[in-house]
Amino acid sequence: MARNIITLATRNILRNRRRSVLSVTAIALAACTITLLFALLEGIRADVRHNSWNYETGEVRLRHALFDRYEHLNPLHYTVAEADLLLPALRSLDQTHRVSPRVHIQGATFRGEEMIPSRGIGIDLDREREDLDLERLLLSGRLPRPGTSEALVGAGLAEKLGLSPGEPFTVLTTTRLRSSNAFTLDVTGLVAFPLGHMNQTSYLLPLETASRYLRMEGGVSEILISGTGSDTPGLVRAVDEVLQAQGLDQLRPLPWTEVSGGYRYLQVADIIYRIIALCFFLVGSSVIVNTTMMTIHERTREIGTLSALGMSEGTLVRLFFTEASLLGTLGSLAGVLAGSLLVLPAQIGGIDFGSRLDMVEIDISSVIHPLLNLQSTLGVFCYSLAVALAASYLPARRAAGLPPVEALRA
Amino acid sequence: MTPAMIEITDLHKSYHNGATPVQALRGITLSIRPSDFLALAGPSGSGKTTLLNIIGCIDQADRGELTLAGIPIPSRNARPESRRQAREITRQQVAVRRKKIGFIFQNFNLIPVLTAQENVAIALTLLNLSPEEVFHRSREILGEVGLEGLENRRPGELSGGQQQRVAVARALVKNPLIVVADEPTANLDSETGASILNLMREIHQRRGTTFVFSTHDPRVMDRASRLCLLRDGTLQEEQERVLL
Repeated sequence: MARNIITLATRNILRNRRRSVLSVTAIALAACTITLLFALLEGIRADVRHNSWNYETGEVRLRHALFDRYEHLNPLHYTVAEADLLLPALRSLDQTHRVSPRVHIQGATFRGEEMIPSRGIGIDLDREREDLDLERLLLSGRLPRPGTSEALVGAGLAEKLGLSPGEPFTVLTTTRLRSSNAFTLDVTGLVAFPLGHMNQTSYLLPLETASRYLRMEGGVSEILISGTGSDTPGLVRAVDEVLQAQGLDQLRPLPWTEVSGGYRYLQVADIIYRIIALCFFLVGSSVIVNTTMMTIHERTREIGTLSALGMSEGTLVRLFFTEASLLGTLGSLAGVLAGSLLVLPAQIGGIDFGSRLDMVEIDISSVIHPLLNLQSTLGVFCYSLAVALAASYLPARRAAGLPPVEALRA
Repeated sequence: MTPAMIEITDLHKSYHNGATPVQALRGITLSIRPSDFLALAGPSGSGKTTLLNIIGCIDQADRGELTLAGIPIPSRNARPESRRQAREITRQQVAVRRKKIGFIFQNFNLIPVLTAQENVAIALTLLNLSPEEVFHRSREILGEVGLEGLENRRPGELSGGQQQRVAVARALVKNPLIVVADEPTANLDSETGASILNLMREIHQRRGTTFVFSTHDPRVMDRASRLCLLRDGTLQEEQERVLL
């Protein structure tokens, strides 16, 4: 019986090829668009995580509990004190992959009369040059040497300040002791940070130099800790245990999911993308409902004949369902395949959003690499198939429920 | 006395033609024997097709009694007590159609995307027979109706007479107790119509299948073993004939 239903369904699909192509195209277009959208979202997700972990929050961010509350006042005195004692303990944890102490300098730089806000980030250059892939990001010049008054300046900031490698710039800032300080750094190189807003405002300098200029006395602004990413709450717990063992109750480890603006954006984007996906599928399904209804309308007498021969309502529904699932499978497969083929070059080359993201303070790179994800691609396939089936169910059910005598009269 | 194959008592049926109520059957009582080759005759609107549809279990009478091969077929007034019972009645009617009744339609009603053999086979497939048996029996019956060699043609590739032969084969392939035919020759030229009628008669005589068909063609009426004349939904006259 099943074989006969498939034969009949296949022949019916081929009976009106143009209409079948229309149905398949509608599903394929929806599936293709959603594959692209989800690949873009997946790319943004990976990008935000990468940037957030590298530059903003780590997987777990460790700060003084009061620093967050008064962050707008640049409360440098709320430091992670005696970092030299804490860092080895954190690095010895099995869960940690990277422990990055940071000193942040909120300051102002000048070009003539114009004041340009800037943000210095003191990093452990020896440890982080590979993790942050600084050589690759370097546009010109070289990396600063540890302990020196040298800096790597974001290309946007360098342009605003009119700086090139070898030239100095002066930063006016406030120290941990709330006194003012000004210091001059030599530009060793220009760098293209993946984040647009970092490019416009930030420079990197050796950790010990930043610490010295801000009078940090062995403390750091924060420590970014990253593990494998598989168990963030477990990492938070492990860090917490270290803090308790060292009596550092004033420090608070927070998972990136709580502190990253990018992550929160992703949560919202995820919902928005799903709504967009739903809209696409609704449009696609309206075509299927339409074509199924036309098909059924044209074949009402056949339905009556099959019913008169003793075909049950359930079998009739199965027949139309088989047609819909064949069209749905074909459309979904074509759509997902086309979407994947379109994603592949973008996955390699990336989509350059250029300067549009420069002033957006979310950890999204200017160049996004869409990412095909097996789970979401399979999800799109199954979802589009389900939509095709759902769209054909009601018309099929209605047609199968027609009394045979009425169907035969059509 | 031979028990009746179809027993009809005081059958009533009305329907709406737009806003106009039409009384299609007004108390038909008829007993059809297994050996009958029965023609329902009468002018348009006399109730022939409605009666055939009810006998074929594709329509339901409003009231009255109908028994097919000993199986009572409920009328609409025998309201089911529950939805489950209603489903059970529908299932029973579908099973009666599937196993005991063969249909021949005026417009042949073949499935255009299937070949002649597949059109016939579909009636057997619904009986859940093995694919080998379905194939063998459908080929055999097509040979019996004179379509050997045309099994793989689709309806569009066959003449009207050949299509009706496929429809006859489809109706007979499952060895039904009753074959219901609604104006089986109306869409055929007189020569082809006569050959289809001869085929039906031949099968009736060979297999003993009860045939009930509607017609308003006097030449077809002449070939029936029994003729029932309907007018305005009532049975006006019954004639017994001797089949030559």
